[in-house]
Amino acid sequence: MAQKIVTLSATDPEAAKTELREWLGKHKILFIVIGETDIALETVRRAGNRVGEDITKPQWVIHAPKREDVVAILDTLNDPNNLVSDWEKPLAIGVSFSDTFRDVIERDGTIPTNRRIFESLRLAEVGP
Amino acid sequence: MDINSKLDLEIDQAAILNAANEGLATDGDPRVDSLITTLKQYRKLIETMEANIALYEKAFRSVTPDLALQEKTTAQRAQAALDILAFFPEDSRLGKRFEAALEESTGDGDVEDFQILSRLLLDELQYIEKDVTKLRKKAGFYFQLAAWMATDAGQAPVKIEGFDDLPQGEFYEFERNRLYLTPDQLQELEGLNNFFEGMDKSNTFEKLSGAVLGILSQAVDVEGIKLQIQTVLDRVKNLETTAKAQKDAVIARLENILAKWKGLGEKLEGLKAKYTNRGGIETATSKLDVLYGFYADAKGLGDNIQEIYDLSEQVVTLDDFKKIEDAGNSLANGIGKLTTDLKAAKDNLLEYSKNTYQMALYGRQINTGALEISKKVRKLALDKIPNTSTIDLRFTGKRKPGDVLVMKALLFKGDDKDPVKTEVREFVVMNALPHVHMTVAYTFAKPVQVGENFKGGPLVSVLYKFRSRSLAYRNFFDPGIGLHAASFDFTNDDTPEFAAGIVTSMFRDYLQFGWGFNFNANAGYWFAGLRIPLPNSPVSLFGQ
Repeated sequence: MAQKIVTLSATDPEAAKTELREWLGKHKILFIVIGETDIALETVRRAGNRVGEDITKPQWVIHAPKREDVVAILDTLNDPNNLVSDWEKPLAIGVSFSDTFRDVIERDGTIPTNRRIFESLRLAEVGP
Repeated sequence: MDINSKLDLEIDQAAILNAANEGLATDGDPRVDSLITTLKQYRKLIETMEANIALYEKAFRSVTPDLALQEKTTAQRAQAALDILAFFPEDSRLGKRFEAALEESTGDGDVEDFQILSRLLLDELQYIEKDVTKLRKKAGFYFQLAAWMATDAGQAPVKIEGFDDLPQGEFYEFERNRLYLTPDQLQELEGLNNFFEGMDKSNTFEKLSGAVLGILSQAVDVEGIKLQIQTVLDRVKNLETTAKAQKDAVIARLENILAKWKGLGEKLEGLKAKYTNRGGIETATSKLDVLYGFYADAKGLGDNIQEIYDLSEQVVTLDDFKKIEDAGNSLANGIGKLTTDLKAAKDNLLEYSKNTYQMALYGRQINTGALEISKKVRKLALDKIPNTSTIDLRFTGKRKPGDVLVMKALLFKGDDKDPVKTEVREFVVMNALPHVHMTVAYTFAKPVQVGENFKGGPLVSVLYKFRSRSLAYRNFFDPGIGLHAASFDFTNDDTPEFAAGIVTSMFRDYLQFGWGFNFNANAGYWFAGLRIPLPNSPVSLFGQ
């Protein structure tokens, strides 16, 4: 069974935007990984293990290989704690049921630990 | 519990260890306090997370999804995990093990991740518990479990397998079903027959109230106290002292008390005669008048005793004592005892009925604090406590319904005399299972032929009693059904007749109703049967 990882189109910006909007409209906890570096890909793999394969559970991973395709949409989401001010920095964002930013993992040249990803998902779940 | 049953015991080891930890925590040592606090926190974190995981799973398994509930349980479960991770930084033992386990996981997602976290926290709990166990051993905690059976003969220790070296108790199986009349019941039947025989309806109440007064008089030892007053009076008269005036004053007061007490005894006898003889209350104009008069007489008795008690407190004043002095000690003791006994007599009138009802409702009253642990009860180290044991009531010796099995569990620390924690359990034993027994009554039978008067006669019943574990039910209601045999004289020819039939009983067989057939007179009848507590009856109000 496939894990709950959704990879947005890297070649069709409109398709990527449409799919992202679709997922943001669902009642889900989203762990959005931005970029297509090795670190980003490994982050996606680890996050995939964290959300598993059970589609009845709300946790999903969204991989957006092209930052420029998704920034405009992500910028419209709620960010009450001002977690993202510079879209160059985020590697991954934890988004709650109500499409609110609850956690950000910034790029620092290292792969986020499994624990860090686990915590990020939990922070997204705690907030409304 | 049933009087012939076995009690299976299960020892809650976790509760004992918790109590021991509490005992450690009060040590004052900050290291110990820290360990105990951490232990409690870990336990709380595990409990909270497991509870929230269960709620989360339930919310997402529901066939009718409730989005709000799903959000709520998701948040609660997540917070529980974050609270745990807040305790353990990434470079801690749990932190490192968590990361390694997540990396090796099979990718089953959050269910597996939460299981890993729970397991690792339990491991941490066990590491702390090992440290605490070492501290408990060092502190020398030990546990004792003891039991007693409280009966009319007092409180006797009871063996609990694995917890003591007491010998096995005497085997005694309570006779649950009794298909014969005891000597006491035969005596009661004779008493009832004598009481009611020759009595017509018009003086029934007078005879009954006389019986009640007879019981009350048993609560006050008139003769015994009269003797005491006389003894003290004699002692005062023989007192050698130069304080003659004070001695004379004390003698006068005591003689007054003696006179009043004798008067009280005569009054009691007079009241008994009044309420048992037909002519005794003939001045009353109605049954209600009799009741009012009875109440006034009974109240008057209590007032008389109160008056005598008040007088006894003033028999010897402080001034008298100063003067009488050296010779006064034995006098003081005698008067002290007299005053105490008079007070006891006054209180007894109330206590007599109160204790009887208390015993019937709650069983025997035990002062559990005074129960002493036998030297043969083992002092068990905390890792040597058996998980289970049994007490077979049939090996606790002679007992009867209303007796109490008392158990005490104690936790001690080192050489401390007072236990760190004590728990007491009391079990009232009773004939709880269904059973059959025989009982007696005096019956008033109404032959079914129209115009026939009530006919009296003694009655014996065999009754089936239903199961109940309620002492109040067993001692107050206790209904039964069964068969009866009785003897009447329907034909008024002084020849006894044999009758039998069915019967139901209520209020511990004190009231019985039924239908029967008089075989000799060839007549059916309805009846009401009655037992009453006669003053000299060997069968008490709440006895068997």
